[in-house]
Amino acid sequence: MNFELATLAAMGSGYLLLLFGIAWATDRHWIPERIVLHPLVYTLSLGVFASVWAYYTSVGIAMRHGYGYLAGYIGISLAFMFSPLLLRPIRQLTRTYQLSSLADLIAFRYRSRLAGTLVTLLTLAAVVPIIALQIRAVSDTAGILSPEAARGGVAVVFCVIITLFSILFGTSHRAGRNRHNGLVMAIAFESLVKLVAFLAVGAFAIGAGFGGPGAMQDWLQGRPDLLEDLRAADFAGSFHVLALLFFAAAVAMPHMFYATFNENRSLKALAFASWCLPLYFLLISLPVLPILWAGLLAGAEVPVVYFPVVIGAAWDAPWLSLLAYLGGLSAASGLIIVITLALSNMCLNHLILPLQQPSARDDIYRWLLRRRRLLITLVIWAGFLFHILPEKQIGLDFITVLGFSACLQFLPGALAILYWRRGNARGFMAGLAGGAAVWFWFILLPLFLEAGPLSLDSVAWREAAALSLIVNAILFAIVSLNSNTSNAERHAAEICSLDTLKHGARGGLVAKSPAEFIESLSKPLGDKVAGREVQQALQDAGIEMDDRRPFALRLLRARLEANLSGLMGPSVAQDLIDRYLPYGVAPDQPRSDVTLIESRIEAYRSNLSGLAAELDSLRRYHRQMLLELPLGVCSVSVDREIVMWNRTLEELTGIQESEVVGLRIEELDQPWRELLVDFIAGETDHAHKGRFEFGGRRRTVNLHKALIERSMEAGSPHEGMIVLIEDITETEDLEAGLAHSARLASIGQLAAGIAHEIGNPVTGIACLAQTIRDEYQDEELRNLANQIVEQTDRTSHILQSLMNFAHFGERRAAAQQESVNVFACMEEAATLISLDRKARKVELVLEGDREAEIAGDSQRLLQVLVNLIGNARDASRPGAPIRVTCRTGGNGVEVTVEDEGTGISPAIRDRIFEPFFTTKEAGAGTGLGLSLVYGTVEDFKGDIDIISPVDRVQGCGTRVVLQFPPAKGHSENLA
Amino acid sequence: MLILIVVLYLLFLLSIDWITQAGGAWYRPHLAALAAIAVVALTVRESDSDEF
Repeated sequence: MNFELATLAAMGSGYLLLLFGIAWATDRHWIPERIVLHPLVYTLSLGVFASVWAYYTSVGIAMRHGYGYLAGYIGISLAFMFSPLLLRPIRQLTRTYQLSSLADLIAFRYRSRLAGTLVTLLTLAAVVPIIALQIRAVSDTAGILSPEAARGGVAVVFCVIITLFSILFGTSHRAGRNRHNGLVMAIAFESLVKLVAFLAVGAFAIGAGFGGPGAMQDWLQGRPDLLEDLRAADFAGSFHVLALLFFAAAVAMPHMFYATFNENRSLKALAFASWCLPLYFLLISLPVLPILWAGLLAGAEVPVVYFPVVIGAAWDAPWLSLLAYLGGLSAASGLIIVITLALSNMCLNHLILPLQQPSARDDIYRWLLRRRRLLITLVIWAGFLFHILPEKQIGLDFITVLGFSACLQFLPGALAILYWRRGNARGFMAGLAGGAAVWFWFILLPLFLEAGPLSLDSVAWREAAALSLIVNAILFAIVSLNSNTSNAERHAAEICSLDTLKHGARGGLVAKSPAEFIESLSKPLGDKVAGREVQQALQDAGIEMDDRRPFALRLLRARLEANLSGLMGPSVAQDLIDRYLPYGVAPDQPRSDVTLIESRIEAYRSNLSGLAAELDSLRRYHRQMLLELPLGVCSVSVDREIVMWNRTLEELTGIQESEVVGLRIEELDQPWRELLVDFIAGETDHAHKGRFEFGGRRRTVNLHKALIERSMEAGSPHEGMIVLIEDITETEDLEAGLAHSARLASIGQLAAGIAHEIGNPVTGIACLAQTIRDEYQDEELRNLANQIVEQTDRTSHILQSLMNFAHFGERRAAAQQESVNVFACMEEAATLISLDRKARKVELVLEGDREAEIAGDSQRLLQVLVNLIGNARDASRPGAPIRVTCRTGGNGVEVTVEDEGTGISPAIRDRIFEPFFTTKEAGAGTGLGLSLVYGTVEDFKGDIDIISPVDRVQGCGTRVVLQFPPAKGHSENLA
Repeated sequence: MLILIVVLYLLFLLSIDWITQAGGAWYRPHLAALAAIAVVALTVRESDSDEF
């Protein structure tokens, strides 16, 4: 087997250029988005995890531990199969808070910059050997295929190319928080290449090497030792530990964290990966045993781990060796690119930025980009330096364990993020220090010792890894339980717990508008960057530039912190935000922001199911009850911020909920500000008949308030206050109308009494006058007596009308259907109207059929006509004519009352028949007139129609048309 | 999800003996893994929520 080095170099370079091309084409949108964003591409990009350990090392592990080689695949697969338990919640946190690495997540959760730094340092210690492993695998396989190649030279060239590629694509986005579509596509392609290459080698081993599956089985029967070794895997010991190492790697290894969370598009993609990625690992693990056995059959004189590249050459298929080499190169390069990108971000956020930050004069994006590129280079070349350690001391499989067991130390802290709120920074760091010390003493140190109790040969990595994890977990628990947890940590723990959504701390910010945000942030970031970041946060949070509501500003602050966290890490972002966008008065303890929680639950609602969905339904039901309550409901927080404003209050005040939620109560418009502020500040819980002017109308409200207790226990702190506003304006109007009616009724009774009392003397006068007229012969005296009789008749008639009118209500109940002469009623109504000397003088014109009769009650018809003529008079100018006509037709009797007055406004036309509706001044009308007219006409089985304006050109005049059925006898006559 | 964990654990317990049985095909672990993946794929398909 002797390939030209140039061939290998050309192939390797060509392959990396192809990757470059794929990434480039993707970034330029030459590849359709439906392909780029397909969950399969995301899943294949996660295949980056199947690096050299899967491609080469697993063959070596299979040789020594039989089926034990499957432990790694099973471990990582389980992490994805159970993604709802671990990966989905972490993905949610990383997306919400723009956390790009485990160190970010740890620093965010434990509110400790030091914790983030420790995680970064230990990750560096774990990752550099793994990078070295990749470099060594590439140089070793190049050396096997081309013995004359200097392995050091190959490694240098490989590192240079891979450094360039990582820098070009991993840092192409200046802001550092965008998804890298090109990179993901390239990594997915790499995963596909190595899978195809490995499967091809496996298939070749079975087909060409053994002559078919049956032949391989026959050969195995002749090697019972191999089958014995295969089944002698230590399922209870090493298998579990190795599986645990790989399970933890799904979160703890930087490249997996990066690929799983940073480049994830959707929950759907993660759900797809939860079964598709295990399938990928299943496929890539399938050829391991055939390759191992084929290598043994061929008697290959290379380390077992490199059997994949010699199988082809052993059976005269050099192309297969080249393909296998390409697959190995693919596995190594993919991992290095992703891992260095992830690590450069971690180092920048947790090692560089805490020590050195760009000044406001710098272009921060460029500043960060340069350092990220420098870090990528340093990490790759640190791996290069590590790979030149003496070969004896770094077996490929042991290096894998070395790196993975270091990252295992993050598992307790990572699980506590989601499942243990009591865990704190001190506990985490104590556990990490203890676990890392065991790892250093029993796993790392032996690498550098030739002999002795801690040398590589004498240390069992399995026990060491398990011990480190146990020490870590115990220390974490003990220290956490016995040390104080800060409020900030407790708050972060609540945020990160599975059963809570994002909570914002309440409290007023010093900056009072987005413009002031920019001004404040300009000091550390510079005008340009501050403006850009605030604009981006405004856009992300859906807030307008002129929004000054405290709630909106808190949301903006949280969004800014998350965005800056993606750029500079959570520790620096938090410091920066706390320093330049502080709270005016820090809340004594974190208080939940109900509005924020509600908005988050609303956005999250489609994801809820089962009990969670039912609880949400219950929440919505209760909320809807408050919103739809026919009382104004306003909820105010402890810091006097409006949390809720229901529909009735919207109608009453004309202020929409969206405009007012988040405002302080003092920022409301008048008269509501004065009304609510005074009431909330007052000592009484109930205020009755508060009166104020609003919308040109006097309003009356009752107010009630109650504290919202946090728990049922007496004396427990409260969450705010609920205020009920009961609009009683209509009720008060109704009461006033009824009182006015009662007064009128009293006056009516009085008038009837007076009329009765006057009636007797008038009758006496009439009798005397008639006596004089009849008994005296003096013509002049008789004329005078006759006039007295006429006048007393007239007076009696008036008094009778008054008494009839006053007794109207009493008569209604006993109203009888009688034949009523309509014209006579018209005349009597005219008489009554003319009695009002103070009223406007108008010209009453009565005309029509004098014989017209309807079935009904004459007094009620009289009441109808008096009301209609009275309204017409009030609407008319002095001296204007009012025509009252009566016509008999086929359909009955039509009575019209027409004036030339101001007409009826369209705005009130629908309300004129409502009881107590009046346009007259207070005390001038009861608002009952037309209501009575309507009721009476209905009782008479008639119709009423109002035409207004009559004169459409001038817009004046009203005609009321009453249509009555004819009296029975009259209709028969007509017939 | 809890059902899934229980099912997979039972599958694991049952499959260990079956996998290590003398005379069994070398790819038996892969068949067991394929069954587990099928269960997960089915579960994911049927439930698209965050409920555990």
